Amino acid sequence: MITISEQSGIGLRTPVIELKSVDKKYGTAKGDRHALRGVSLTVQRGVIQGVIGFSGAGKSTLLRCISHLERPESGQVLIEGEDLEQASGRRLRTALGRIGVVFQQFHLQRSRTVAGNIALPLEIAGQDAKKIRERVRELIGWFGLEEHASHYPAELSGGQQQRVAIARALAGRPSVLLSDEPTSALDTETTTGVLELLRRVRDKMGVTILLITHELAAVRAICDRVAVLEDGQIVEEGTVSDVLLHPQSKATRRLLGNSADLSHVEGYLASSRRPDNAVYLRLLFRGVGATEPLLFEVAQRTGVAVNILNAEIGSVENAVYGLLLVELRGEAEAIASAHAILVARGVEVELLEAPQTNAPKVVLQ
Amino acid sequence: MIHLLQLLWIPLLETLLMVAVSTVLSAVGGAVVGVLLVTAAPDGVRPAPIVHRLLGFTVNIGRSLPFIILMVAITPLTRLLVGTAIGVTAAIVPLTIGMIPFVGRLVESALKEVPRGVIEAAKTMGATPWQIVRKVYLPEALPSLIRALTVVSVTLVDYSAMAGAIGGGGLGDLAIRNGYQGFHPDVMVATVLIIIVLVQGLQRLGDAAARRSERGHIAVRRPRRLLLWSTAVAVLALAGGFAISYALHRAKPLRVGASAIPHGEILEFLRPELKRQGVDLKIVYMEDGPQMNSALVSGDLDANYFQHKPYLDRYNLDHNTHIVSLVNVHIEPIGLYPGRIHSMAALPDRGEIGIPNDTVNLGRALELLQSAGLIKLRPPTRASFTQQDIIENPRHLRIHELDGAELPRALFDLDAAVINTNYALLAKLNPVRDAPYLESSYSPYANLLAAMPEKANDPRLLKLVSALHSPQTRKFIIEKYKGAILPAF
Repeated sequence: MITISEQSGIGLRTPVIELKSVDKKYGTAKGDRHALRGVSLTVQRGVIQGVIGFSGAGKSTLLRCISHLERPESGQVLIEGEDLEQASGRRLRTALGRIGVVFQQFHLQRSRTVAGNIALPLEIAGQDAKKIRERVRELIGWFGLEEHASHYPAELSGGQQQRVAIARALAGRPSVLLSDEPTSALDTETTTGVLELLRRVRDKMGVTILLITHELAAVRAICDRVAVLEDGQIVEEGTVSDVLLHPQSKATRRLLGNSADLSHVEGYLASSRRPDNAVYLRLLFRGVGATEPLLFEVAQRTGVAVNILNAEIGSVENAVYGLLLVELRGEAEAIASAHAILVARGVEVELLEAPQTNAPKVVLQ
Repeated sequence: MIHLLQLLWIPLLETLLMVAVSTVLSAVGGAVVGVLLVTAAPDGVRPAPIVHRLLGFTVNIGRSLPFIILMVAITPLTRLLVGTAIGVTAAIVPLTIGMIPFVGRLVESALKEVPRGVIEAAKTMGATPWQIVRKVYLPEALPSLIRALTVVSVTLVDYSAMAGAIGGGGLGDLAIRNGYQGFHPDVMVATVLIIIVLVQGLQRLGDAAARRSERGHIAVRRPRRLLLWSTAVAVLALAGGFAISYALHRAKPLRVGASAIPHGEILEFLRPELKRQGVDLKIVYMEDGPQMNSALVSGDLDANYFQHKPYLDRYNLDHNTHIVSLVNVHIEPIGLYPGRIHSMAALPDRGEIGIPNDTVNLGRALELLQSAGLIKLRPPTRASFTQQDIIENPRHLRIHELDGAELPRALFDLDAAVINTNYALLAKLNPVRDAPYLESSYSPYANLLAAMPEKANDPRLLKLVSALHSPQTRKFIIEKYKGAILPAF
């Protein structure tokens, strides 16, 4: 029913959001603190772009710079090719109209009803009352809020309030929706509902979404692409499967937790029980892999001892994957041939840690 | 009881009028100040650091001025704005101006309670600062604003009591003038009770309205009737007040400033007669002499009746004015009254004596003490005596200068006091019986009706003069005051 906003003069190929080496500092008592350092990011139309990072990485600052709540020290923020920093007055208001923002704490007006809250951006844009009523009715229907239209936010659950906040952000038909931790204040079940809703917004309304979050699950659930922010810099950016399954940076690995590295078995590795002739591998099976029989086969044919340290099965971009952290013990030749078998079967193998110095040298092709 | 109600009715309306109008005006003014304080702040929606600092500074100055001083200080402004510096309308000006800085701070703190995020949400929608104020700040802070307004109206009930100082009337003035100074405990209690009821009512009204506006804030629904009801009461009070004020102004009465007793009583006695002659006499009760005279100069009063010739001469000299005496009316012999000692014979060595502290009555009191043989004064060199002129004080008396109106009460803590007859009468003292030493009847201190020279021929004033000198008035004074006050004609 509602399609990609038809802004005249803006080609569909123009990136909806374009950040060019954005720098942002905050003055503190101890001197300037760099919140963003040279962040560049391009978000194409219709994409759900995730930005993930630990707290303090600069995620919220990034969103505040895009939504014009903060001014970057240097660099450019382009929304559909328009530089917000250069715009003012009416032009700035039109440009801001292309952005809808959803906040972690909803930030609804408690003095306005659900319908009143949704109407706010339209009132601010100076639309006439009849148009506002129609648009609000349309959105209330779309978001299934009919029975709450005349309720106040305080009478709604967190999930319902976030729906209202999303409806409000979309009232002015923006082309991009900035969502700052939209599910962090919600429980797991509600989170799923809100994320599904965001996906539906993209699918049906064609709105580009920038999702800022510290939750991997949210990125997995709906994002097409993800950027990893660490200490004010984007350390990794790509499709969700690329980034999550082949993490390149330390930050991403830390975000991914158990499935990415050996940190959770550090205690085991440090202990004296750790054998000298062991190698540690990270095995990624795409599609549904019969992992157990394969490992059994490797052990039988090569004589290496296989020890599974961590296993994870999940899905990303609607494809199932399996991730294993394994310890292989044996002669160097045996380990090399085990590796060959795994690769031959289409398993993506990554060497996490080489054996101790006095162990036999392993050669992996 | 009926008498009491009649006495209370007009002051009640006056208080309601003062409170209602100044609440509305100071709410509007304070809202502007409060909104500016928030929006112009460095982290506001339209930062203007210099404006913010200047405004904050001004507000702090406004808040540190005691109201009673402000009220007198802005008299010229009051006259400029409403054409008069005395009366209910005039009292509204200082009440409003004095209140605006306070309301400004209340509004500021109410607006600051609005979560930052809600403001930022509106900013991301491209809202202008004015839109943020109108659509976010004010509606979001409404319950706090209503609570602030309640505080303001209650404070104004309190402040309006001080309006009596400039003839504003009202309940507080009645309690002080008639109740406290006039020794009418019933009036005082009744007035205080009404003020309590008024304050309670305002508070309940405010609370109800605040709760009502909180619907969205706390998810509780309240019946709509409460708001309707309270609005109706407020509107009625306001309309009634305006009607009264309109009526009061339309009549163009002859305005005569007077002390309560006996001047006010004598004038009250004349009122029906003057009414018959087509003169609407409006008695403006004031206790502050200089103010009554400056009100003559400014035209706020047509005449006043509280002073004697030496006082008037002194005032004209000090203020370079030309107020004239129209007619002498009565003599209030000043008297020496025993306090703790019950009889002047018991006056101890180093005894304590109170005397009035205004220049003229102070000299007059010292002369009385001399004629009582207690002290000796040097031959007169100036217009009136001061304590420096005492050359002999054989009994080492300690003489305290006090406000004339306070002396009857201070009598309990003094061995004796020299008290003006009007204050003595208010305290139910009988000068003839209670004062062993009274001024002789040829005292130069006859109380007179005074006016500006250009008004001396006002036909209404001439009617007042002849009414004052009528045989009926003479009879009234003699019968009512039984010798404590004597006709001076």
